[in-house]
Amino acid sequence: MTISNSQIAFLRGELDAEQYWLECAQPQLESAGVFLGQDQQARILKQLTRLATSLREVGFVANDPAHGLEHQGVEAANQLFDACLAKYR
Amino acid sequence: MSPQLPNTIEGLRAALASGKSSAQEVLRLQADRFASGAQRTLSVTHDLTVQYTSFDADKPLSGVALAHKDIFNLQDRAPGLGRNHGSFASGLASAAVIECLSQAGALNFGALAMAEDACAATGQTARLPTPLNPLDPALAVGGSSSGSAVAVASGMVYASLGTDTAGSVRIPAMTCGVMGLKTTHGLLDRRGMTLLSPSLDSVGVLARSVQDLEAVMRVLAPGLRWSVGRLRADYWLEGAELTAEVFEVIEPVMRRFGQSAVDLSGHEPRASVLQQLLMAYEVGQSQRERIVQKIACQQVASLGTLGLTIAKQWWVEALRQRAAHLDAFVDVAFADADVLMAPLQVDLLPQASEVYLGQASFKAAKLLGLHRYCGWVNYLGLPSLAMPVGLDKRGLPISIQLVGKPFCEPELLALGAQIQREIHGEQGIMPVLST
Repeated sequence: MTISNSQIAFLRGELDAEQYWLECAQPQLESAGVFLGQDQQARILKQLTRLATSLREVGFVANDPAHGLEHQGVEAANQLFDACLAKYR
Repeated sequence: MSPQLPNTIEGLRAALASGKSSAQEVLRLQADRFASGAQRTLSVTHDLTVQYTSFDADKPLSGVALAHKDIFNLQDRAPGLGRNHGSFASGLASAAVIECLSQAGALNFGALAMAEDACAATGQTARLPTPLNPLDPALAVGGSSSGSAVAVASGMVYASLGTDTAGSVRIPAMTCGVMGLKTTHGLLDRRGMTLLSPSLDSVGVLARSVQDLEAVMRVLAPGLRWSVGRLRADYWLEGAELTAEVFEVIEPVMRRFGQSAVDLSGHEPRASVLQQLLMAYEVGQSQRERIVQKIACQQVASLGTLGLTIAKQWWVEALRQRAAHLDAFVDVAFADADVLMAPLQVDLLPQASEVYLGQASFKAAKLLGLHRYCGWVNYLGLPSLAMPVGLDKRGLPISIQLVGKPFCEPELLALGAQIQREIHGEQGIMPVLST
């Protein structure tokens, strides 16, 4: 499974938290330069599981964005939100 | 503020304009008030030298004592961000909002205490003194704009700027029994302000009266439509997790000033959890270096590390959905109303020992309760006015929030003025001049 697919699968509840940790979260943390002890890891994993559960409960679905378009996606999303706010002015 | 100082900016201006008080006298009284309050409440991280020689009627804040959260750049001074007392930074310009107030004649007495990196629901700090609540030193002070709320409540200043990412203006206002306005996302200029979570951060104002909030906001946002017609308010209480004592106080107020109940089930929980996602991810990005170097405070390290495990595509998607969620929310909450009255406080004000980390009687639920109903407003980018509307059996304030459509700060203040008049009187909330 690609990292992107794992991230979507975890959100959908199709991948358990430990697997997500090994495939995505831990590599992400380590590439950022953060190395956790076991206690810290257990605490963050618990928080991550709680967040994913809450996201699932409110029907949040993340789609796989086309490769390389994430940055554009952020800019477009922010512009869309700013425009949305502005129309109420 | 004291027997010699009027409680509102309007009153101070009237005294100066009539010649009843001289500029020198007003400066001395305000400086004394600020210095004694600072000593009593530990709310100041850096004192500034203030000069004021004559009243200028053309400047709406001429001679008005203010002081702000230590998150804004000042002339030649980098902010301390709750980590330290700030530092000399040659050539640094004041933050846009600070400069704007200065141009309007306001006096800036100092930089105020805050939770480290603006990332906590209380004012507890590890490296600097934790400010004391003027209502009772044993009570918690909310964060992160803790010093701002304390300085306003204790009469040290008329108003103070703070910032709000997940309640950081409204929570301290609530715990100190004053008013706190979180502004619409993007309304006020954030240049020169340190960002924690750029999607969510907005500048806010704390004061003891609605008219003082308005006086400051008219300077900062003159382009808003300040003429407000007849208002209608609805209220949301259904399904809110409140203690019986809080409910008993706020429910009659909501019914008194509101027309109908609205059902926000589905909207508030979704916006709340998406706010948590955005904030965690963005704190991880903005604080990564400090987390890696292990110099971040406990709250930043915990939230930011969680954020570094979150998939970027979740964050992008949460941003992408924001506009649609805002439209859907406005359709429901403001279908018939200009203002929505909503819960803010879920429980009675906590003791410091119940919500400050590392205390023997720490209760996680009490700490979570401080920000339970804040984050959804930030995700949707809406303005919100926190204000006390009653007292509990101990005589301590209980607050709600008034939420408006984007850029409807004037409507919030107009309804706030009606509530203030009935509950607190024309002059607003009186300062606590001694503890």
